[in-house]
Amino acid sequence: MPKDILKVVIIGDGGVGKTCLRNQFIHKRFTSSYKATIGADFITKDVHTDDGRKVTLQLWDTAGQERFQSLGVSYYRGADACCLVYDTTNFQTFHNLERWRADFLKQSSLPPDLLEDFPLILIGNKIDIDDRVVSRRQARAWAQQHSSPRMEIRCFEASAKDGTNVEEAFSCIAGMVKIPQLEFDMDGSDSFHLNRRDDSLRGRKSCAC
Amino acid sequence: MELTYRERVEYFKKALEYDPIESELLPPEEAVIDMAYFREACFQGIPDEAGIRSKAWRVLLGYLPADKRKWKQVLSEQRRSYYNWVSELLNVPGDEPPSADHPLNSKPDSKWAVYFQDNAALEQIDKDVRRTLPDFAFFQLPVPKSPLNPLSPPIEEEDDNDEAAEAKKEMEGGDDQIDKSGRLFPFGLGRRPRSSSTASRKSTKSTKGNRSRSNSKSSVKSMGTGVDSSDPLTKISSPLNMVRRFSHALKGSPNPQQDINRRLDHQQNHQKEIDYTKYEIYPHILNRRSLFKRIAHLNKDFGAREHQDMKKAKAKKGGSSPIEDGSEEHLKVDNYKIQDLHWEAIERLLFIYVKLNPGVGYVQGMNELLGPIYYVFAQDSDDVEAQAHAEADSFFVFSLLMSDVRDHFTRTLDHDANTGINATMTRMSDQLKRLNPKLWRNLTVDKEIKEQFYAFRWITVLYTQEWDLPDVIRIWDSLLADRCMHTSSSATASQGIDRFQFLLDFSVAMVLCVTDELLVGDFAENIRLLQNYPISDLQVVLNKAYAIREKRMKLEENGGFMARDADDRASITSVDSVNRLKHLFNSESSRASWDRTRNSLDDMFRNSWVGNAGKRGSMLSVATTESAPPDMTSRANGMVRNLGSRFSLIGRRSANSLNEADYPASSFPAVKKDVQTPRTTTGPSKQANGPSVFERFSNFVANNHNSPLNEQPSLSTSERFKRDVAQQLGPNPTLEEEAALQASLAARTVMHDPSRQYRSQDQGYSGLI
Repeated sequence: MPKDILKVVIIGDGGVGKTCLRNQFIHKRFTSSYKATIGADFITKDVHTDDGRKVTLQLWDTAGQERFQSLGVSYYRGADACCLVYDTTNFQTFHNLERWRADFLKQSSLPPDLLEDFPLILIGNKIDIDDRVVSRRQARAWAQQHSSPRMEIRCFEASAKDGTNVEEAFSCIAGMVKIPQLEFDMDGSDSFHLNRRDDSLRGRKSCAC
Repeated sequence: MELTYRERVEYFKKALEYDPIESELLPPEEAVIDMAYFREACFQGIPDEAGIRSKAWRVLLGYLPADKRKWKQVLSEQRRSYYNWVSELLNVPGDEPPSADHPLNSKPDSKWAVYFQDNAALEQIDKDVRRTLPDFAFFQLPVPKSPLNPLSPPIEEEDDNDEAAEAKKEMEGGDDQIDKSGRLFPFGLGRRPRSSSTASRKSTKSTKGNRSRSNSKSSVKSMGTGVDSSDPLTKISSPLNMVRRFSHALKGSPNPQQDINRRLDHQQNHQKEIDYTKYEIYPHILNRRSLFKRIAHLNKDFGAREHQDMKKAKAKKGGSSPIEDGSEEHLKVDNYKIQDLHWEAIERLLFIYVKLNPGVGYVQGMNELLGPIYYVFAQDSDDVEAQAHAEADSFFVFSLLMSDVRDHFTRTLDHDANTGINATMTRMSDQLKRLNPKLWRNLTVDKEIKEQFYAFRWITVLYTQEWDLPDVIRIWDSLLADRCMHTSSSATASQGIDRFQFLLDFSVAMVLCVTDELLVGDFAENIRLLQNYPISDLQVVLNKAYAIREKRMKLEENGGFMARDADDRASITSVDSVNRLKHLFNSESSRASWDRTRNSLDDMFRNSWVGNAGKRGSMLSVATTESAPPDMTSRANGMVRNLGSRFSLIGRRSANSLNEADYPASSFPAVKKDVQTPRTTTGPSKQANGPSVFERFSNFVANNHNSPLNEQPSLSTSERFKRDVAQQLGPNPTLEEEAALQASLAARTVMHDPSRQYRSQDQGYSGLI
């Protein structure tokens, strides 16, 4: 069985719950008292994609504060996918996604023609708190706006606290990344496969667009 | 120094013994601490006995001078400043009489604009400080009340023991987190691999009599409430009981000065218990909690979970919770009566720091640095006064520590070749390379593991996230003691992070202690290992670090860094070097660009010593094998680093651009002198190549407008520099921004010149640059 390693970078404002999401995904646990991440934390997890591939996710959970962004280059380089996280109860964190995305693409040292199609997903965290200020529609609109014909930004609303959609979001990355970009267009079965997954998710709690 | 533990304790006790009145009368030989010996003693670890470390750190960081006769004055002045800042800087615009200023005023200097800006910083601080050492109950506990602490609420009769008892009950009961961490508390006793500590500690502890209240560090109960009710003796002598008596006098007294007088009067009546008269009393600061009010609305959305918990807790307690929550009605109550929690004290302290250091601002991780300092000071159960002023003293000690490490927190210096976090990590990597080239190659070349992946956090927060607090405190003993230890011996006084050589020694030791595991693991395994450091016995790593330090110091005595660099280079053929340079130059990353400047500058220096302008092709081997005297080259390297750091420090210190008035050439006598040396030794051939980089650099620093580079056809350094500054700054830069940018640009701008020289002199290198 071929083993793939996918490097996934998790970015977003400080305090949106990047570390909590990652921990919920890896350890199925939640604590509200994580320390601020300094630099970047690294963790791996093996996942099985729907088509039976075994994929090792290398998650880089980065620091949220702006100050650390200039150091991003060493963490971003060679990434296969990027996970943009915002806090559904804090509009500013959603607003800043624009900057995070631009900054990531700029620092990732990708060839310019691939930038558009770079696999991104969007996670709105903290939906367990009934104090939402960023609507699903807004998130979907943002994703739509930044998707390209060959790369559709999927969006999830998740809760690191109760685990809602966390697994789904991360396995979505595993599924979408290693399919070479061209196959998205040319290989109908693969893309169909993904779409089918989308439908099943949409039926549940995600806001897959 | 081969002393027994007991002797060491005695030494520290004697060295640091202090009484506000008696110490002023000491003869000089007893009053002045022999710093060299003291540092050496601290380096081996400061005993955990009450009161020692807290004073020792104050001395090590230079907050207290070596002369104990000056302590009283220093402490009084500094503490007073801090309390003044607290009362001034925490002012809320709306609290003042109405003025023309309005919340919607958009002018950048509007009081409200500043206020909103501050709130953003405060919000960020709040998020992090709440999470300071989350698995450690201490920071969630209330600051003990003390009549000496103006940030302590005025205490009323009924507060006293009932509240203490209630708080105690609370702690022992339901709350899982506190209960759990309560067990973590007695760390000072068993965890340390120092075997003698437990026994001797017990024997020396009981002699304090009734001067101090509970000395028990391990009792979470006495920490939280200031009263250990199980012991009738301490009950009588506890300051809380003292205060209870003062509080009669305090009631209904609106005038703080009057307050103090009456408090002092009362104290005199009770001198038998604790002599408070010898301590200075500062007026209460009534707005000390206004900053928590400012961001109360935020706590609703940020830690909403926490917020709900707090509400629950409050409901249970019938509103007597010392924890302030965001609820409106609560805010209307006079909240100066509320007892601060320890993390709130840290939050206030950081806010004051940010207000006073806008150029640095708040950066995540500062709270981690503050944790050990504040903890050590607030836990000092030996000295009533020091404990009461833990917050103020922590502020100054933290500021002093930050002045050394703030380059790590400054974004504009991230890619600076001499200072800043990446430069420090490169130096660490260099040291690793020297000590274990095989491991170094395996990590950085074969697996491409960058130091950023693991050492960034180690170095930025000084290991506070890698080790448990007791271990961190022990590491810091050595770190702080090693700081400045060698300034007297080296030709150029070290600055900033250069003082923390042991920081690198220890980082390298951490890597070397897991060499075997690293060599067999793959990329992911290595990173996991280094980020979740597997060794829990600190002594193992410390011993390694000590050995590395020994080695380093020996090498430094014999000629320093460059001698070793030269050895390394000698093993690499010049073809390799060229390839390496090529690789660096081709890479577009900024890391490479500063590597390049670093390398080229280093080479340039070596080269200029040799003075072999015509033989550039072989310059590396020439420089390394024969011609360059090791001490010379070592000095060169040291100077580059020094000039850079000194320059950037100056740049930041001064708001106005670097003009002569601020930095007279005389402030760099050592530099100037050193600059001359190589030139005279290298002979006249050097003269033809124009001024040396050193000279240009120091000239540039000293005399910005009169750069010797003016002869060059392109823009002169200073012109380019000014242009760059103007380009990169917005229309209304803050002074600090401007200065910081200037500093980083200056370093870069000047560094570029040597590479230009290459181009003109050696065609072989022109393709690379």
